[in-house]
Amino acid sequence: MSYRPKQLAHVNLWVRDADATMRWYQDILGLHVYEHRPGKAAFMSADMDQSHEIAVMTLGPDAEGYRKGQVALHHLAFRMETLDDLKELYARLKDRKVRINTVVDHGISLGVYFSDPDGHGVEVYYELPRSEWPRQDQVFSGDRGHFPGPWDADKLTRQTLATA
Amino acid sequence: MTHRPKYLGHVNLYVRDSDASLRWYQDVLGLHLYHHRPGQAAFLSADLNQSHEVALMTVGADAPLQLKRQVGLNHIAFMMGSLDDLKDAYRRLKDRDIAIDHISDHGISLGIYFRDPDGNGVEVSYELPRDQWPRSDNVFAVEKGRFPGPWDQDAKRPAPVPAL
Repeated sequence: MSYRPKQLAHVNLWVRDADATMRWYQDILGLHVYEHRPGKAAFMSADMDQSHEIAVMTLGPDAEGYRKGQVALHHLAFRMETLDDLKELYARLKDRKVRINTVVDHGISLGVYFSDPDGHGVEVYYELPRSEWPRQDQVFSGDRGHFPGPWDADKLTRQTLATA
Repeated sequence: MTHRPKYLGHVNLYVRDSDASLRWYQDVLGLHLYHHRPGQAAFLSADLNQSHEVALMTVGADAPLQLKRQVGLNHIAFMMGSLDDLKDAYRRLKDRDIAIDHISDHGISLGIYFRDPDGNGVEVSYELPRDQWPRSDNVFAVEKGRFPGPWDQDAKRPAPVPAL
């Protein structure tokens, strides 16, 4: 037995309009909807073996948004299977005219950052398999430059978001 | 190629004190620390094949907490490898005197909800494997009662909000 979880499973967000947010995640990321309670909530997955990886719950149109400097979810991140898949999604973001906040090279991974309709940060990233990480501690301390791609012009355009 | 991500990889939280939160996530959930920037940030994983499943970033001791009915995080959830592991995690919460907000039976899963040091909602959950779900749409619209356990007394308290 182990009290350590197997993995992160899902994130549950309060949003202004769960239906609108659901349509956005379906369109941009191609997520599957496993349960929908119109007007109230939606449960979506990228990995079909999870009942949901993101749940969104309606608060109403007047709900207050994120205030700078507060405790908050900064972003949620979806892992792409291959660097080519990340390129495909990047092209989709450009096609849908989703504004890219920044692109950051973390050494063993590369992340493309944008925002959902309520301003939640969303990252899509490719990460090297663990067997290819140069080190197993301080894993982000390695060399950069492993992931050239169509995003090179967007890299580090907003340093303030260059966290992880 | 596909634009659909493989899975949810991580969440990144802005917290008051990432060192204090780091110790809490290590102690309560047994997460592994893959990268630490003392005073600034910590990157933790349950699944060791991920460089991080939770990143914690310090915003400062005076940072306002998330308000009720504010757009943002409801909770993050970790999947346990077995129902026995969920029992182990439950006993650890009790042993650490961590207040349990509520326990919810979702039919195909059971979740235990509590809070991290900044009040961020955290769930530990056991979910049936997908091949055992009674249905593949509206997946939560099924009978409850599959997960008896040491939490049965706690489970009688109603959930304060929809909380999947």
